[in-house]
Amino acid sequence: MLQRLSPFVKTAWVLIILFVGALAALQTIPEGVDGAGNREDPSGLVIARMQAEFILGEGVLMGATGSMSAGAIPLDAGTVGQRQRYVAFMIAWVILKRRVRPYFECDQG
Amino acid sequence: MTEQESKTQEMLDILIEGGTLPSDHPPLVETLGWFGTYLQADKTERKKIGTVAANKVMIVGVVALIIGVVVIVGLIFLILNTLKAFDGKLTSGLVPPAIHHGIYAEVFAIWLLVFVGFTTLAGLLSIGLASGNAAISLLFVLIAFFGSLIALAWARIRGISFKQICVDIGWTTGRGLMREIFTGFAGYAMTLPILGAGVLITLLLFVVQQLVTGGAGTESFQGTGGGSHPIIVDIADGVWLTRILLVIMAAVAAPVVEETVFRGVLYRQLRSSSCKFPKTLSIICSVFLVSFVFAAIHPQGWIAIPALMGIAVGMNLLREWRGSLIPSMVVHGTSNGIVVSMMILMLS
Repeated sequence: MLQRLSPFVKTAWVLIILFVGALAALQTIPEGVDGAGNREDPSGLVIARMQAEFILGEGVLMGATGSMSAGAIPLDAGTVGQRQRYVAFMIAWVILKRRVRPYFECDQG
Repeated sequence: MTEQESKTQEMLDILIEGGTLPSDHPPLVETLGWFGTYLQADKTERKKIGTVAANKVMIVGVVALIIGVVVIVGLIFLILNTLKAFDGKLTSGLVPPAIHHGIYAEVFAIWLLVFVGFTTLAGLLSIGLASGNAAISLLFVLIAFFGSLIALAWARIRGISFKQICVDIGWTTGRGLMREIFTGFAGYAMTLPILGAGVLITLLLFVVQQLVTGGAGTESFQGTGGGSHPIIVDIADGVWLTRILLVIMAAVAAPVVEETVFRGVLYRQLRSSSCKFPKTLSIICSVFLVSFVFAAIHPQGWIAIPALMGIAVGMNLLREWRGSLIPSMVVHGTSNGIVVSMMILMLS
């Protein structure tokens, strides 16, 4: 019985090869571009947050928040959203360095 | 740049120039998430955020230290076991198939179709019934995951007894349930050095990609999330119920289903198909092919293929050594469980 059904086996192998080949090819296509051509990278945003928190935590532990700006340079990469987060992190660091909080006074007023 | 990004940029530009944001500006937390919270925090809040971050770094450091010790121990055992294998003292636990046939190739092909069909259906049901509830959506995916194992019924339809199917695909307790579970943990330690080699290759590819597309400090706006699993977005955005379901998904469902079809069905088939090769060559070819297929169908992108192949090689070798799928399921579950737990820790 198994011998008679052998054509299924060949079909199965062809299907597996095509399927895996198609999936492997799909992996190489850059994703995250919306209809307007803007790049999106939700995973990248999450990773950027983890990196920033790690840099901050390391700075606090080492008592060296002053060197955070150098450590944060790798965050200056990726999509517009990621780079805006890097800029926000750097502005926050400058505020921390000045030990003042001048930018948001209007919020409290 | 999207409209929201333009508005955010306007606010950031004001701050860079030392200006003051208008009183009606949208909260930066909404657009920048954690970064917005940190930026808008006062001194006390910022200190609290810093303390939380420091605690996370300490926990990650302790875990990394433990894993480092496990890697060293695992490497020693891996070398010893490799030497034993070449001396013929480590025998294969993979039983020869009762009959040489291609039924398991058919089962694997059917599983691929059923899996894609069921997960697509789960996605449609999520859109129609879950109305944005991530927990319900995940439940549908969990059902689709386990439901895809219905493909095993094809082997039964083709005349193989259920008992024989269990033996063929490694659904057995091997040399005892507890012993196989323990071997799984030992196997995890021995898999880590192989995974480490895979991760190194992935990092090398990442550096090459950065050189080609442009990395930090360049004008390239290529995303940097390549190599990570999309699950991290759900972990970051999810509530605790969602996170618990994600842990079940990663540490229970994925190991059971993926080990059954990759190490159980496909590895069995490839070892049978290459039975005329010298045994070592048959094992090497089967391990490599199954590992590649396993890595290629994961959604982390081509850059993560070496890292995923690294862990898959370890799990395939365990399957060859023990015959039972329990050790490779333990390795898979432990690995996924640790990674997802660390992600939850970092993002909570």
